[in-house]
Amino acid sequence: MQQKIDEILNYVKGKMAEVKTSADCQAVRVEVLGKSGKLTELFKLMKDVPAEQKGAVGQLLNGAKQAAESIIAEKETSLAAAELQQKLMSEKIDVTLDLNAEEIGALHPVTLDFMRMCDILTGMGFSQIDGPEIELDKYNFELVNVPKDHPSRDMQDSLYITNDILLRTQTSNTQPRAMEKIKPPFKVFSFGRVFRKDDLDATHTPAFHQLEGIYIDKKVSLATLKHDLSLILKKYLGDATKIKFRASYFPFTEPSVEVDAECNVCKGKGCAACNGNGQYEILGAGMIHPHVLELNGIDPNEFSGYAFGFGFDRFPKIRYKIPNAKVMFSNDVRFIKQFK
Amino acid sequence: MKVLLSWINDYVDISALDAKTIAKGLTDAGFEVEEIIDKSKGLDKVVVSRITKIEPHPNADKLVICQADYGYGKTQIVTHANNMKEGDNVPLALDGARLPNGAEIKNGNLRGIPSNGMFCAGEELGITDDIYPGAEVDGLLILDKNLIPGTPISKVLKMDEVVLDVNVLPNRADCNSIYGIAREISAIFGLELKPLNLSYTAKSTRKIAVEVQDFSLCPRYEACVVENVKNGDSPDFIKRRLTLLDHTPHSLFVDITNYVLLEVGQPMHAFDLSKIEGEKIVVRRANAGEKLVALDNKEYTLNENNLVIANANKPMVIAGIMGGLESGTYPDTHNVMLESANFNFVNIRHSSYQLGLSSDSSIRYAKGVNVENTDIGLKRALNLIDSMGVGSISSVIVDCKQSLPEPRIVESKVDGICARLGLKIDGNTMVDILNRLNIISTLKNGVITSKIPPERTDIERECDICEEVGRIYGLDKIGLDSTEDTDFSTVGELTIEQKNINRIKLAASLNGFYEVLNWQFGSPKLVASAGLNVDEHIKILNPIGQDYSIVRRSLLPAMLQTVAQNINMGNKQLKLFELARVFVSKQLPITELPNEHSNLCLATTDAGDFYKLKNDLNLIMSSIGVPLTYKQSTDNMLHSGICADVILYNRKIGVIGEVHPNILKNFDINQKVYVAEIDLSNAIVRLNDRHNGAAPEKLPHITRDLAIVLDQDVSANRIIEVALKADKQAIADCKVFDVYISDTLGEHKKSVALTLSIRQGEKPLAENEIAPIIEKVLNAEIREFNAKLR
Repeated sequence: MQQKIDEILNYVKGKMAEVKTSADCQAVRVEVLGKSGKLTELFKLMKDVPAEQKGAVGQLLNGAKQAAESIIAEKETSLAAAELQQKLMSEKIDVTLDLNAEEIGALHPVTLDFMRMCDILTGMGFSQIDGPEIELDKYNFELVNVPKDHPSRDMQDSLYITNDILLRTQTSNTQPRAMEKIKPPFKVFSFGRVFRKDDLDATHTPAFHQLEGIYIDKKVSLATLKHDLSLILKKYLGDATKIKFRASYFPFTEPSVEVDAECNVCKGKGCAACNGNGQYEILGAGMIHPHVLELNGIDPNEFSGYAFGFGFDRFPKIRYKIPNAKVMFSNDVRFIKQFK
Repeated sequence: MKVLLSWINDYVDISALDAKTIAKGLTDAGFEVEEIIDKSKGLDKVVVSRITKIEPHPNADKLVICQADYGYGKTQIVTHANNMKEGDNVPLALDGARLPNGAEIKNGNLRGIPSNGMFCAGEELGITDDIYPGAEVDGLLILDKNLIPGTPISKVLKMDEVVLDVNVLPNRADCNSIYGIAREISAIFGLELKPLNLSYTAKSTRKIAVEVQDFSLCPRYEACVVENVKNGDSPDFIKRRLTLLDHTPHSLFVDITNYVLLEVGQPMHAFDLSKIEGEKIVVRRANAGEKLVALDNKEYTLNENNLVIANANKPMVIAGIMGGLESGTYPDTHNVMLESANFNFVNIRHSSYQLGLSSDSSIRYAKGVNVENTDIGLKRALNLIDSMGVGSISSVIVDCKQSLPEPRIVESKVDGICARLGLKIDGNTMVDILNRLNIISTLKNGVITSKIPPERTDIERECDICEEVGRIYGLDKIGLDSTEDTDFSTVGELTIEQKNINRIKLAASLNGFYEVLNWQFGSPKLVASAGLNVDEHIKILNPIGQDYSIVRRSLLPAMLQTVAQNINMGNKQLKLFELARVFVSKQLPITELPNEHSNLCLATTDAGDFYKLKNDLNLIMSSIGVPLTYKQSTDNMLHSGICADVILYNRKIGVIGEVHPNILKNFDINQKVYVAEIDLSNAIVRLNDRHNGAAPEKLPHITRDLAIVLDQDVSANRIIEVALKADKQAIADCKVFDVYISDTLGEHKKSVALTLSIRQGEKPLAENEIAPIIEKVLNAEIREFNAKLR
């Protein structure tokens, strides 16, 4: 019996060395372990084995059955892995190929930079306010201390729709609109397009973006303004940014200041980037004129406030080295693609 | 405002300051110096040379060879000039000189003979006869014989002058004058300001009658007669100063008025007394249609809003703007009447604009001149006339005015000024600064009382005094650490609309769209090419040009133009978006503010098709949680069959579709373009922050497909709607996954394959529970659309 078992197991081993596919393995399994397989036939002899040996022979046969099965299974596993590998390799693709490629779009540099500025201003406690782009004379001029007959109201400078309605010349129209709605203290900013009747050239566009911030509270001073502006501009233009105040004039602020920033390129020494000035003009600001507060129902003896405002388009222009406004507003996709 | 520093030096001793320091001081105090103009620029390598010998040129008839002594040695110059002789002094530009006219001088050869530099004509040095006599002759500038060779030419021409170009801001009209700037410089640098010399001796008593009819337009009119005048060329110092400040000298009396205008900012006019018919000046409104030929030789038709200076019979001058042909002085003028007047600056500005006529005077008046300045101007002119001895001055100054304004007194608190500036400044320091500015002030109990001089029309209250103190003390002294604590703190936020707009913009860009920005105004032609009605647009009264004359009510016309421009530049695969405001008014012309909507506009070219664009729009709007639906529609601009209304909360908010071929033709576009434009007003008013975090259903949905045949006209959204309604409890979702059209289905029929998602609830559904649900859907479709099971 042992001899027969060994022969069968050797047969199985021999077969397993030859087979190439898992189907071949299965054929051997049937041949040996199937209903009339070689090993199965040996089990049929059990009935002739004397009772006292049945246990031992049974064990022997079961051991052989397990051994045969494991030899076949081992071969099957390795064949299956190889077959799978072969199948996978047959599905190999060129991973460097771009199929069904979709591009991501991009925001306009003005939008990009405005979003940066939004983060800075909201981080500093400023909330956004909004106002119409077509505005009543009252909000655009009168309530910000630009009375009738002020030179800046001349027809040459503003675009009118009626005698009383115009395309806003400044985002300052949001100041009285804010004061109308909110009681001080408050800290707000507004952003948007403004319109002037400028002649058009490479640097002048028929409209441009302006950003404006105001803070009204009990102890606001020019020092508060300088502190806040310094923080805002450091975040916006770079930590090394140094700002400087010089006197200026705007109808809605008194005192008024022009804010210069030290040139980041030459650190104030003067270079080509700053036209040799060592600094460049960034924005106009000042303490809100008490008359503006009065016109809008705020007691200037109780509250003071600062305001700052600037033409926004030049900053993305500087940041992204855009040659001129014409390029910036060309709407050529090849230009905008650079801002992905 | 051009400021000649040597003129300033008449009134403030600035000899210890260099131009750069003065410029910085002025700039920091609010008078930005835009340019420091060095008048000797280009003259630095030009010296006096004496011609010692002139010989003919061997190779050229028109050239001569000159030997010259230029102080540092001898040199040889070849020139084609012929107005000089041996012994003459002439300017010599040496090797490396770059002359004011831009010419660069190098040693070289002229027809084979070495020439070391160039002799110069006056024009090449950028000067006229008013700077140096003989500068305008044809040929070399022959200099004074006594000059020593080697002397720098800038010294000889007295061109070592510096002019500052100062930007005078509109509130400081008083500083549009040499004396005004001198006062600022004296205050900034703490230097003494010398008074103007206004004294003169009168020798006659002749007077003239003046009648001012409208004091609101002419608050003050002063006149003085000067007899036996010698009206010829002006003395050198006047000609030189006018020339250096870009004014052309004319004749003595005109030059004097211009000199006074520059020095004290008072426009004046000199009349020939003999031309003033009736020896009477009448300041009156022009009669409608009254005509005057001005000094520019053009005839102007006036109206009653224009002010004129007339004699007894006719207008002579458009007041403050320009004289008529007979209003001036002439070489033979014997007696002169000097006018020094104040006119309403608003009226001057309007008249000047309306007539399209301006002059140095009108520009100066339009900026505002104070009413007390007339006296200063007139007396300054009389002083000049007296000191030059060019006429006999009358002791009578006719002064027509209503009462002058009372001097204003302003009280300011020292504490208030400090609090506003955020600076600690001593009260006495403040008073000192104010006094230097001619704002005579005293300090008592922490209150500064200031008497405001007439020229300072800008000072009305404490904040103005605060500004004066701050700008002279130095606003840059404000430190970053000196903020007072304010007890206010707040969380900064964007408006809900802006948050949503930012999200939409980001979503659009992440979905492959590039943002474009177009202007709010456009041309009627563009709007018409896009099939819109021009008459429905708001018009600008005074547009920059026809191309910017109407305000947009749709983003599409400019978008189509942008698409066309990009295609022309080879950008054929486009996905563009714009999010901006449009303006819609209920009635035109408008009487109240129009509605401003934020619109979103998308455009794609053959990068996609209708469904792709619609899907993109849905994706973008779902970024703010807004569900859109669509309804077949028509629109002028869009393809008759590929066009839908975009619907939000049962309201049409825009359109989407393929651009109509006729519109594409208008824009010269030869490929398909898909566009969408929606009004975001109602979509962006809420934040998409009310989400529901319920646990997902325990059992997965079961999906079953159902194919039905029905009329081609039945739209997918209606089929789905009916399916969903058939059993709201059970049907979780329904999608169309295939549409098939074939004649075999019947005429005008289509087969639509649906995938139904069915909820299982608490227990798994058995097949016999699912079948009735499908049956319900089928029956509903049969009822509604006469559908058949396929």
